[in-house]
Amino acid sequence: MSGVTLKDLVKRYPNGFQAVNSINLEIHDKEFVVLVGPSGCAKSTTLRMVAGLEEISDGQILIGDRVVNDVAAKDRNIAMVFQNYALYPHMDVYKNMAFALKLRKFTKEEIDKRVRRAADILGIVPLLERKPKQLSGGQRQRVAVGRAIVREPEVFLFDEPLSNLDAKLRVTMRAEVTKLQHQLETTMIYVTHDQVEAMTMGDRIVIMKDGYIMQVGTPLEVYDSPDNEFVAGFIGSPAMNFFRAKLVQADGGLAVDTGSFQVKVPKEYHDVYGSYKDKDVTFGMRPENIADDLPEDSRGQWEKLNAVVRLIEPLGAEIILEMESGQQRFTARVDPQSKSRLNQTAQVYFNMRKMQLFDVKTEQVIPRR
Amino acid sequence: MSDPRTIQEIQRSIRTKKAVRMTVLTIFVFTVAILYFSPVLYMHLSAFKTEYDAVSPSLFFKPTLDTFQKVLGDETMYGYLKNSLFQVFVGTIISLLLGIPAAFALTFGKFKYRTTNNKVYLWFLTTILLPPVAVIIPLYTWFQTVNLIDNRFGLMIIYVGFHVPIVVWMLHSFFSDVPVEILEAAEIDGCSRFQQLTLIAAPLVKTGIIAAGLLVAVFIWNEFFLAFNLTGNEAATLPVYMARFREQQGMFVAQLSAASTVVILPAVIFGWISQKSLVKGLTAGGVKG
Amino acid sequence: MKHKDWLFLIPGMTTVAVITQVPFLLTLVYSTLRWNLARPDLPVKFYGFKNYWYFLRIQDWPQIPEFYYIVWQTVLITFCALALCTIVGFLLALLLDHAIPGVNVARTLILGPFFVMSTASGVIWKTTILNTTFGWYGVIAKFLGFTPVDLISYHPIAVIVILFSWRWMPFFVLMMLAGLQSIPEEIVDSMEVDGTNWWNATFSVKLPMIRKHITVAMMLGLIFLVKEFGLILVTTAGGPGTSSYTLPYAVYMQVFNASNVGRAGALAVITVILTLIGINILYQTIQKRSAIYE
Repeated sequence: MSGVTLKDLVKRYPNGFQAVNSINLEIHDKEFVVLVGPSGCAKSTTLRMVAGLEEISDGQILIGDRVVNDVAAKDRNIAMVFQNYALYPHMDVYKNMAFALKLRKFTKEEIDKRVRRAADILGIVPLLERKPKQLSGGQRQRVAVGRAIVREPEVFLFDEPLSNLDAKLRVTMRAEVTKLQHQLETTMIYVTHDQVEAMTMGDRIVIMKDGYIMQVGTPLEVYDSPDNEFVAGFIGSPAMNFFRAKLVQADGGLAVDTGSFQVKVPKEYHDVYGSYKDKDVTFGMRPENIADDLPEDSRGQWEKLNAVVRLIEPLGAEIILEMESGQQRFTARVDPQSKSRLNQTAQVYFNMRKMQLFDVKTEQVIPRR
Repeated sequence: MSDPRTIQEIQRSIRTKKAVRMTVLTIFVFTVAILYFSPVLYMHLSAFKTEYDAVSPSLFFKPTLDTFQKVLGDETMYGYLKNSLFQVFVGTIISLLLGIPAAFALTFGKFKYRTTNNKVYLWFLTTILLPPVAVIIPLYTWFQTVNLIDNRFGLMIIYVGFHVPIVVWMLHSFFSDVPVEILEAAEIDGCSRFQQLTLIAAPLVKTGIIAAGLLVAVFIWNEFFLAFNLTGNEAATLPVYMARFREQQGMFVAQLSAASTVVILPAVIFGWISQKSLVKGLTAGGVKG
Repeated sequence: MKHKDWLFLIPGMTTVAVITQVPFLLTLVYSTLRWNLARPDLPVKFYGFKNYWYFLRIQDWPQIPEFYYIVWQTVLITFCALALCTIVGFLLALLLDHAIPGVNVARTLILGPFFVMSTASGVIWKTTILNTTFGWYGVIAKFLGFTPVDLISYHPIAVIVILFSWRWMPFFVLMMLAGLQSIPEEIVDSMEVDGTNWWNATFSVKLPMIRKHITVAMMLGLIFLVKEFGLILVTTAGGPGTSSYTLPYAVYMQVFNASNVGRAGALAVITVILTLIGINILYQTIQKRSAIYE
C-alpha cells in the first residue's frame, strides 16, 4: 500500500521563518492529489520534503507504512518530474530514461523493456536517440515523465510540470497526465499554482496558503462548499465577488444589504444565518451565478438589482461583464447573446440559492450544514 | 530625395565605403598585432639563422636548421624539458583532481551554515593573491630540512598548492551554470554525491575543466620564481634553463633563439588552441566573482 | 549528505593551506627572529620588530634608507605598468572587437606574449631588441641618425615598465575583450540607430558596461605585476646597483644573497601589507569612478 501521510509536518529555516506550519494530510493509495495555492504557500516545499530533497524540521512523513524522515531520497521509491524537466543534457533520451535503472544495476534487457514501454505510452519512441536540446518543450516534458514512469515507483511527484508550456499545449497535456495516472494506478502528488489544473486533474485538491492547508476536498466540494474566503476566492475563474455587507431584517425575512443594493436571502437559509442578523458579513457571489437576463432556471432564486455595465470582455463562449452598482463593483459571466451595452444600466439577477456568507473577522464561511 | 544618383549607385557606394573601411581596419589591426608579437616572431625567425647571420638584425637570410640541431642536441636541455613536462602533466592533473571536487562542493554543498560556501570560496581566492615571495623563505627552509630542495615531487606539491585555487575559481562559476534540479533529479534517480559529480556535473562542465587545465598548464610551464629558488640541477625546469642560458651562452643569439623557440612554442600553441575557452573561462570565473 | 560535502573540500583545502597559508604564518614568525643563515655562530633569537625597524628607520636625515627607494620604485613600476596595461589594453581590446576576417589570428598574435615565459621574454628583449649594437633598437637608432643609449643601464625603470606591460597586457586585453563581446547586440544596434558618435559610444556606454571586467582585470593584473620577478632578473638584475629593485626582488636578494631569513621575512610581510593596501586603494578608486557613471 503506498499512500502518503503527513503528520504535523513543519519546515523551519535557520533564520526562524516557518514555511510549513504543522500540516496534516492523508493521501490514499492510487489517489491523485493536487497541492494548489499562490506562490509562497509552501506547496513545493512540502512536495520536496516528501521527495527527500528538503530536510524535515518537525513531524513525520510516511510512505505506505514507512516513516521516511531519515530515509535518503533515492531509497524512498519515489519519482519526481520537475518544472524545468531537469533532463541530463549530455545524455540522449534513452540514456536519460535508463539512467536510474542503470544505477540500480538492472539488466540490459529489463532496462530496454521498461524504457521502450514508457516511450510507447508517451509516444516518444522516435525520439529515443535525440538529445534534450533537440526536443521541444512538450517533448522534453514527456521524457521527464518517462524517466519517472520507468522507475515504477510507489509515488509520483510532480512539481508544476506544465508551467513552462504554452497555453494550448498545457490543456492537451493536462488530459494526458490524468489519463496516465489512471493507466498506471499509482499515487500521484501534483503541485501547481493554476487552479484550473487543480480542478480538472485532481481526485482531491489541497489548497494551501502561507504554509497552512486551507481546505482539502474534491473539486466539486471546494467549489460548492468553500471553508473560507481564501478558498472561495481562489477556486473559480473569474473569482468570486465579495461584498462588505450587513445581514438585515427585510420584508419578513433576511436580506443582504451591501449599502448599494439589497438582496433577499432564501427562506431555507434563515435558520443557519439567523444568528448573524444585524451583523457585518462578507457576501460572496460567483460571476457564473449572476445573469443579466432572467433565466428560465427555476432552481435558482433570482434576486433583481440594477447595475451599470463598465466593461465588456467577449470570450466567444461567454461574455464577462464588469458592473457597478452604487459603490459596489462586481463581475458577471453571461450568455454570449447578452444585449448589455457599455455604460448602460441593466437589470442583473443574483442566484441567491448559491450565496455564500463569511464571518468578517475569521474569514471562515458561515456553514449551511 | 535630391540626390541625382540612382538607388543602385547609392547602395554600391555604401558597400564600397564599407569594404574600404573593412580593409583599412583589417590592415591596421594586423599591423598592430604583428608589431606587438614581433619580438617573439623575430626570435622564431632567428632560430633558423646561422650564428653569423643572427648577430646583426636582419629579415632576409638563408635559413638553416643547423642551430636547431645544435640546440636539440644539447643534452642538458632535455633534463630541463623532462622536468617541465613532469611538472605540467602531473601538476595539472593533481590540481584538477583536488580542485574539481572542491569547486563542486562549494557550489552545491549543503553545510550547516549557508555562509560556509561563500566563506571558503573567498578563502581560496585570497590564496591567489598571495605572492610567492611571501612564502619562499619558510618553504625554502622547510624543504631544506626535509631534503626536498631540488626534488621534482617537492616542487610539484608546491605547484599544486598554488594552482588548486585557480581551478576552484574557474570551475566554481562553470558549476554555477548547472541547474541544481538536474542534480536533484540525479539524486532521486539514485546517485550518491560522488556520482552526481562524476556522472552528471563534471561532464556538463567539460569546457571549464579543459580551460582550467590549460590555464594551469601554462602557468606551471612558465613559472619561474619558485622553480628558480627551490631547485638545483636535478629538478630545474625550462624557465630556469632560459635564465641560465643567458648567463652561460652570452651572445649566441641564434642558439638562444632556437632554444627559446623550443621552450615557448608549446605554451604558445596551447594558448592558440585554448584561446576561446580561456576567454570564456577567465571571464566567467573572474566576472562572476 | 553533509559530511560527504566536506570530504570533497578537505583534500584541496589542506593542500592549499599547507603550501600557502601555513608558510605565510611562518614568514610572519620568521620576521620577528634574528636569523642569518650565513652566520651560524649567531644564535637564532627573538628579535621583535627589529627586522622591520632595520628597513623602516630613518637614521641620518636627509639620507633616506634604501628601503624607501625600493618601495618607491615598486610603486612607480607597478603603477605605470598597470596604467599602460589598462589604457592601451582597452584600446587594443576595442580594436580586436571587430568582425574582420582573420580576427582570431590577430587575437592570438596579441595574446601571444602572455604565454611566453618571463625569462624567455626578458632574454629576447635584451639580446635581440634592446642591444645597442646588435639589437633592433640599435640598428633603427643608427638608421635614424642618433646614437643609441643603453636603455638597460640608463633607464632601467622605463625598460622594466615596458617589458612588464608588454608581457601582461594581453591578459588585460583578454578580459576586456570578453567584456566588450558580451555587450548585447541590441545596445550596439540602438546606438547605431541613434547615430551616436564613436567617442560617446565607447566611453559613455561601452566603458561603463564592462566595468566589472576592467575591475577584475586590474585587480588580478596588479597581483601579477607585483609578483613578476623573472623579467627583472634576466634584464636589469635590479641594477644598476639597486635602481630597478622591486620589493619581491629585494626579498629574493635578502634570502639568497644576504641569507638573512629574519630580514627577508620582515621585507616579505611589508610587501604583502603594501600590496593589500595597494589593492584596497585600487578597489576604492574604481568604485568611486564607477559611481560617477551610475
